[in-house]
Order: sequence, then C-alpha cells, then structure tokens
Amino acid sequence: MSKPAPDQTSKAIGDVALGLPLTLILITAYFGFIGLGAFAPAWLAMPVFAGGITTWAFAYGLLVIALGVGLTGLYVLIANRRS
Amino acid sequence: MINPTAIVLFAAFVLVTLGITWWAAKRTRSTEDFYAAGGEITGFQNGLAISGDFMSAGAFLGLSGLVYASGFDGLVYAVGYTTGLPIVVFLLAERLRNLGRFTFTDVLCFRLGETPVRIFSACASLVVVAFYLIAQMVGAGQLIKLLFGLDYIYAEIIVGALMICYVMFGGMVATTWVQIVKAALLLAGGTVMAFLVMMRFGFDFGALLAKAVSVHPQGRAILAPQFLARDPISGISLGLALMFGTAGLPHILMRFFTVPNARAARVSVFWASVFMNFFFALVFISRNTTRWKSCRC
Repeated sequence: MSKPAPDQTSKAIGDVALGLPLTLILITAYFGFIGLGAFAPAWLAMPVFAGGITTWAFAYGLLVIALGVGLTGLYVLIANRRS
Repeated sequence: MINPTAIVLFAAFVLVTLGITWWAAKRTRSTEDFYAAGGEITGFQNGLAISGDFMSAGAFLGLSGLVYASGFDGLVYAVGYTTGLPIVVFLLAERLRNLGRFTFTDVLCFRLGETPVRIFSACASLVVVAFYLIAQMVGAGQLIKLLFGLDYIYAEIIVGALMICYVMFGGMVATTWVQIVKAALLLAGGTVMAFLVMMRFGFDFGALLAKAVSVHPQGRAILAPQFLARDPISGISLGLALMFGTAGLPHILMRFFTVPNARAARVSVFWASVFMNFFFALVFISRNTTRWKSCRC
C-alpha cells in the first residue's frame, strides 16, 4: 500500500472544529452522570418531584440518551449543509 | 419444556436470513461488494443495520438480566452504550471514509510502518474477537439448547456453522440485510412490549416503578446506581469503556463504507442514533417489568 501525499492525509483528517465541541459536551454530560453515581449516589437517588418515586437517576439517564440523538442530529445537519 | 411457537419462529428467522444470504451471494462479485456491499446501501438502511449491530444479544438479553438482578445498575450500561456512536461519528467515521480504506488497520498503515502495524492489529483482533465471540457463542448456544433441548456442544456447532455461512457466502450485503431484519424485529418487539406494559399501568411511569420497588428484594435501592459508588475508580473505568469501546468495534466502523457517499454516511448515523437510543430508552420501561412479570407467574 502506498503512502498518500501529506495534503491528502490532512484533507482526510478534516476539520475537528465541529466534532470536538460536540464530543466535549457529551463527555461532560455523561461523566457528570457517572461521576454523580460514583461520588454522590445519594443525589441520583433523590426523587425528581418531592414525594414522587421517579428518581433523578432516571431523569438524568434519559437526558444523556436524548442528548446523544440531539448532538448527532446537529452534527449531521451542519456537516451536510456544508458539503 | 420445548416451546413449539418459539421453535417455529426461530426456524422461520433462520430460513429468511439464509434466503437473504443466498440472494446476496448471487449479487456479490468483487472485493468491494464483499466487504462494503458495493457502497450501495442507502443511509436509512445503513442506519437500521448499525442499530442492529448495536442491539446485540449482550445488549438485549444481558441488559434484561442486569436490570432484573440489580435495577438501575443495569440501566447505567444502557446509558453508556448510547454514548458510543456519537463519539465515533464526531471523531472517527468521516476520517476513515475519506481515507477510503476498508479497515482501521489500513488507515494506520498510512502513517506507520506496515509490518509492525499489521502484526499488532492481527494480535489485537484475535484477542478482541475471542472475548466477543465467546460471549456471543455461549449466549446463542444456550438459547438453541433451551429451545430445542439439544446438547450444548451440538447447539454450538449449529450456531457456528450458521454464522460462518452468513458471512462467507453473503458478505456485507447479507450481513447488512440480516441486521436490518433483526433491528426491525427488536424495535417493533420492544415498542409493543413497552406500550403494553405502560398501558397496564395507565401510562404512569411512577406506578410502574412503585410496583418494581415493591416486588424487588432490594426495594428502593433499585432506583439509583449502586455499584458505581462501591468502587468509584472501577465505576469510572467502566464508564470510559462503555463510551469509547464502541470506537474499537470493527463491524460498526465497516458500516461507514457500505453507503455511496459521506452525506449518506452521516444520514445513516443519524438514523442509527435515533433507533438505538429509542431502543435503550425503551429498556428503561420494559426491563423494569421483567421482575414484575416473573413474580406474577
């Protein structure tokens, strides 16, 4: 297999200005969830509504799942507009 | 002991998927066809196939078992699984596609010495495949053993032979369509199950959780993660593995080559993330019920 010219490699690597911030947002949200579970589990065990049974663990967990779809959608939308 | 409905459904699924493999084998002509389905899969189809790859036996059966045994601890895995694909999309997928190579190893060979990279990646692949394959084969073998009352060893041989047939004769076209069928079945099944469960509880998630708490020996403890706090370091390490492990799955990365262009690749990951995350959100509902159902019967 032949080595590509440097310009071909850098073109392929593309621009990370879009992907990197989205990655950081998702990492922050997800490790917020894991971190709370690891260091402040009592917080996740609190009910969302006083007296209710659904805990913050469910709310935060679903938020991370929804955020994944939202950020992916945003990425696809912006990247496809550009091309 | 042997369940006729399950056997008929299983046989039908095997026949349909073998039919797909036969159809795909007739169409496969080149290396490009075999590894990347000739780049002729649409974005939507590829999205379904990616979600099919993700919703594996481990994600489906393993998660049910985890949630059944320890409640929210299992849902931590569900949340973790959903964070993997976005990372692949944001950082990896496009670069791989632009370089136009079939495997991650081919990409590494661009920059680094070919021989050491190939030796290393062959070793790494075999180690990863061994762990991945053993878990899947044991799961599938146990399932066949339960369904047909066969000896475990024969169940394993049948499953192994089927898997090899699918991939060897059908290549990427067949595997893609088999994954699409599987994803559609899992999504439909999961949705119907979650809907029926919620209907039973008057669409009140709180009532469902209250019931789960009342029948589970650990009571309210199942409503939040437990194991993360017991050993925070290994908890965080698990979190890392769930998020970034996906980027190392070759069958997921390969999927970005089966569509005609980068645009379709992006559309496919969008659909994949919608279907997959929807499925794992359903897990929040339906898996909580497993315990409740088993207590009733």
